[in-house]
Amino acid sequence: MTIEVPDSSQVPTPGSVLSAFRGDIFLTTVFTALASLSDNHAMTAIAAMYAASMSYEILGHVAHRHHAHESAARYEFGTGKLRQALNLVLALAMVAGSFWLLSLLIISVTVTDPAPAQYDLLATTAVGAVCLLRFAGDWWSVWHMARQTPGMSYRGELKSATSRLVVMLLAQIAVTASAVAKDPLIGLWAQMFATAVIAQALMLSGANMLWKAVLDLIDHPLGQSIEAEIWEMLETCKIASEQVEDIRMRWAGSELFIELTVNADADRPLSETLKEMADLRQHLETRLANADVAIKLA
Amino acid sequence: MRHPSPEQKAKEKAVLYTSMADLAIVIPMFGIGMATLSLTLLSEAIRVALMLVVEVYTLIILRAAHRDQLRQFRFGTYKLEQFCSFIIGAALVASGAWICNRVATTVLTGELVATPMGLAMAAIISAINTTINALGWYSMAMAAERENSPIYEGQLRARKIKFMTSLVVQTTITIAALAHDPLVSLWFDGVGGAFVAFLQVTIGVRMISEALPDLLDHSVPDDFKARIADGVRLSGVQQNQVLNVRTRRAGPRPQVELTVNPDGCDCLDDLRRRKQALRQSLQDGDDDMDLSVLVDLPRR
Repeated sequence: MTIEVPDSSQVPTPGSVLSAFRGDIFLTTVFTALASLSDNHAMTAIAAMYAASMSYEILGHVAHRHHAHESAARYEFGTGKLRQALNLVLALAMVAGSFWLLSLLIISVTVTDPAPAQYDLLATTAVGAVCLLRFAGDWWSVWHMARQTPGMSYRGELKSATSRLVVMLLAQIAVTASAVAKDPLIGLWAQMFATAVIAQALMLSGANMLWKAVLDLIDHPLGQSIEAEIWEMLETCKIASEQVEDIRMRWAGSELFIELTVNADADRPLSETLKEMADLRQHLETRLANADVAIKLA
Repeated sequence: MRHPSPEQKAKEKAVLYTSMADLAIVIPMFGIGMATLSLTLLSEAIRVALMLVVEVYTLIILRAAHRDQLRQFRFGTYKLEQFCSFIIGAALVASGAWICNRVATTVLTGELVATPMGLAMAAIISAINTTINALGWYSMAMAAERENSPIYEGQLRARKIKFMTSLVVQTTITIAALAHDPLVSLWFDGVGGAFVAFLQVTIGVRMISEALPDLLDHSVPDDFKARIADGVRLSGVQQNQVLNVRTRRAGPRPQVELTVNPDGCDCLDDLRRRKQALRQSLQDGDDDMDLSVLVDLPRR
């Protein structure tokens, strides 16, 4: 039986997280401080979106390092579910945050807040530009990896990065328009538009993340489209549907666990059967990044 | 869709009638609690309501399982139940904390928010609740045999705790209603509310701590791992032929995955015999684990 020795250098300490994310943590701190000093809700919304995005990456880092240290002891099937539990908490915070932003917006509209000062608008524009550059950089790196890796490995990540970039672009256009507008009322409405766009994006992505986390935690069956893709891959490896006695699949974070029970021909040499199954596993694991394929011979 | 058997229908009816009885009492508890602002009654109403949610989702899952509507959950529905428990546990902790805050604020300000008539009504509704709990516990205790199943024993224990809790609540709220001194009323109402809040937080924390290891795919406890090791030894399969063991909790049927070495097997039938020996030794007639025996495949 294999035993993995835990590596204490992989423990996710506050120091290790700080050093891995010092740039993002610094920016989030600055944005949050500026938002608390500002009367501008758009600045608050941008800071919230940046904090949510950074929190998501930090939680992923924590779960990954926890996996490297604790996998032998408690998480023998990996820390995917731990990651999803952390995502669940973040998703709830995002949804709550989006409702809070919308309530600020409603109060602004009903109370008719005075237009933000020019320096406030310029600061918001600068903060928005930094966020936009950061998200553009993220999108570029995910797009690049998606191009290099065939199949559905980075499809979800690319979709998230794209929607984040588009939302930030729309918000930045509105925020810039408010800074250059001569009419303060137009400036005010542009700021509100930016806040509304970000609040809606936070709500939708939070709700989406929440739903995925819940389905993952309860071992819900996979969607029909993913199951159909996996059946297609089996056919590519010349495994007929009659040969497959059973197939069970579940997500655990970004890991896809697939358990296949295949009817093997007892008249064939065992070594040939094992080689065929090894090729099948290789094919599936190549096409699906982070797939954990277990094959049982019936 | 499969039709449930008469025994399954009887179980569903038992859970349904219990839930209906609890619903019948929780609505007036909430109504009178909010009208009278009695802390004890409000906190007890919240606790009963959240426990009622447990009964309702149990009934939903029970009905779906009896009609084979949850077949698509290939790894079982226990994680679904544990997630519901986790949510309810979190709600219990949050509401318990809220009630503690209310009790502390009310007692520190010294203002009695519930009127004497309100406290009297709260005491009456609490008495009805106590009677229902007493009858429920009594009927279960009379039906109990010398040796009962663990589930029945668990239910009996839960009913007893419910009855004892409602007795404490009844005592404090009755004293609060009968006391002439408003300060005494305030303190006893506060004590009753604090007691229920403490109970809620305790039950909530226990529900969360029981659900989390299953939801996070923790490996099985050490005694279960020892049982797996004994099973492998008794199967006759060599220790070095079992290359890897992975486990994860899934309630009463944890998932166990063994990877065996095909070395020494000349044909598929030899491999099947090796797997069968492991299966028989580990499961030994009980279906208390989701066992998968894999064969180690060569990697390029």
